[in-house]
Amino acid sequence: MNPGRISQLVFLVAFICILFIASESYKRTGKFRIRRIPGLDAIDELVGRATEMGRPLAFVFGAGEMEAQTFASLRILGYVCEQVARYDARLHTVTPLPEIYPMCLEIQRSAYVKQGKPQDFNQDFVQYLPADSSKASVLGLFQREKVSGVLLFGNYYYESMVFAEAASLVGAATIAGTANFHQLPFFVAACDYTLIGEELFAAGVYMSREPSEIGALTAQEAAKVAAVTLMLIGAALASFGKDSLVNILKN
Amino acid sequence: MYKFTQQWLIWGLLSIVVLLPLVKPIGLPVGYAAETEAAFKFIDNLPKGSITMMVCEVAPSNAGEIWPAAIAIARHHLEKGHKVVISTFIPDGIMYSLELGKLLEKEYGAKYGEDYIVLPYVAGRETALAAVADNIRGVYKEDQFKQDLNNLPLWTRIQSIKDFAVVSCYTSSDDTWWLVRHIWGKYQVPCISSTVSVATPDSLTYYKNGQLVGMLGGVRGAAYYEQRLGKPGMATKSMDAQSAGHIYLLVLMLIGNVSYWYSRRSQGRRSEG
Amino acid sequence: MKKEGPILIGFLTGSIVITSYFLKSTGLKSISDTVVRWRLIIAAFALALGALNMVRLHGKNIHHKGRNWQYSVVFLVFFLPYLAIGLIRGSNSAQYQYVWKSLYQPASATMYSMTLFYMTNAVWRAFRIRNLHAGILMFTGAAVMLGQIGIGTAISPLIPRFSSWLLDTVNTAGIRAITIGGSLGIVSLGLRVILGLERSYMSDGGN
Repeated sequence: MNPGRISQLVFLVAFICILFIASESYKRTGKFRIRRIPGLDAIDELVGRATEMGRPLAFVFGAGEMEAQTFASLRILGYVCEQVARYDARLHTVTPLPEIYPMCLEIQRSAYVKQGKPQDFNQDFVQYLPADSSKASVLGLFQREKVSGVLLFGNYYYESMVFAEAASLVGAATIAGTANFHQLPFFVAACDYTLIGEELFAAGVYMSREPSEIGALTAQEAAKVAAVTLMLIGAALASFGKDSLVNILKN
Repeated sequence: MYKFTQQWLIWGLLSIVVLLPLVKPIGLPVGYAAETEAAFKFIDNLPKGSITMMVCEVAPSNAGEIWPAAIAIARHHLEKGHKVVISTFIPDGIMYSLELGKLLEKEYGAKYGEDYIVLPYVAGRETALAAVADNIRGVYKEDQFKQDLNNLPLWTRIQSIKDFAVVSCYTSSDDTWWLVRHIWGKYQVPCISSTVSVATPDSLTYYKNGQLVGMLGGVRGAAYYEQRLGKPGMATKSMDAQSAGHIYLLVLMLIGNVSYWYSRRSQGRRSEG
Repeated sequence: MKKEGPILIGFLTGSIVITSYFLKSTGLKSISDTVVRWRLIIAAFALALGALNMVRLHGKNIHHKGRNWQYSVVFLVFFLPYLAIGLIRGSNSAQYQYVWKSLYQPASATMYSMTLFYMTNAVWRAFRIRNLHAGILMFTGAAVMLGQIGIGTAISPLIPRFSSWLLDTVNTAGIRAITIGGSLGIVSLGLRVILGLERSYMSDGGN
């Protein structure tokens, strides 16, 4: 066993156990409550607005590297694609990450197939644009297509402000979500709705109510409670000059 | 039409406000930066011959803010007789890595392979950095010039990430977090981060936690470092423009609010009437 | 197999990397290092795939004389020779660096600089004291901005002190809370991928 990692292993095992227990419990009882996330509720409005106005939507991924936020955003893309296919709206998907281009393509294709409209799928509506050049292209897309709504999700950096403001200049409604706290203030200031940090990861549960996702969210919440408890106990002990908790966690 | 004119007026004034100090510097004070002072002192106290790594995640987009910091720290390393290994995990970074090497050769007569090495770009961002932290010799076999690294004297002194006295990173991305996770977290190698201004608040938390030994926040951090080193450069020049830009934005906030309140008051009066 | 393959690969590679983090085993660590290096190779291939997609998309646009096809011609005229220089002469060559410094560098820096214009717009549009929250956002934003520049000190030494307090105390507390929440989200999603529970990235959502 590597030194200093026992407490981390205990945490991981506990996390996995809670995930499965909560998942099984939901399968049995079907009971689960999650608070409203206005940003996710607004997706349907955005699609409806796009259909009424006859103007397309744009879903743009952040230019940061592919990681958990990207997966969470792909889940949201899946939902948006289904809604778009259902209501005959149009959606431009732009990814600056070459790795997820095939996934975006398949997600969009399968959404149309699911709605029984495979003929409506157009792969030109999914674009890979390398990080730096994507900025100009996305701005051009917003202007040319006069998009009615813009969804900005994922690992965002400075392009957050550029895209959010450019969307506002063409009168598009904006929903954004990122766990990158350095970009959150920009999204909060410039977008209509913002998913902050873990709300992005909770999107899957919110939209699908899939047991394993509910299990994962429950484990997350339990871990958060544990973290706060440990922090409080640690702070109290440290105030009395005792670092026993720190020593335990260091194991 | 009114909105269009207003927008271009705001943008036009902004251009003037930012450009003027660059043409004619005002010399506004930089102010004390404790986290940058800590970075300076840490590097200053490293013994001669220490091996250091500079992760050069500089791209044209962020160069205005972090490139001066990379230059200042590279100069500091060479002045103190440290050895520098330059690496990058973004494609653009390699251009700046080569530029940094040229600068060290020109200003300090640094010898390639003995005083510094330029490692090639490795794709994979965080995974790449994690791989370097776990097994640097497994990731790199050749340098940027396709030479076998084992033929370079400096490389023979490096077996693992623990051989570095400090790893510094110049980034507008999440590299600070990755440094903390993979280099400090796993191997306790001291780390310094230079970030763009918007990323400064979150990088600061790692400095406060003791996971970074120092940090340079945006142009201000770089300007402070340059002044501390006694070599004012690009950052010191840019500070005036940045300060002027900040003041302009503050004035804009003020005018925006005054006009907002005025319009609300007029609307209120109209509805009362 | 279309479904099981990716799940199996995710499970095996993820388990190896996690196990090697906890267990002290040179053999396991060596396998884990190899797995991580595979990811680097895949990332490099993904770049090539992205480039191919760009060529396909713009080539198709020119072939069908689609909307703004002229821009696609411009793209290919610059992209293909630059790619050829990079492949034949390498990124250290004077030719590659010339194109990079004369075209790419200024264009890319311009894009970043545009952020300032959009930010100015946002400051004008969004920083209005419409309610208490907007007021706090504006007030703290202004204080931090003033604290970051020397002129703040010139107005009053209290400004940088207040700005530092905001950054060190209020900001740090907020960021730590978001970091803990976000990190747990990452752990949860990562585990779901490894355990084969997360299938949203597959063509049919794993169904």
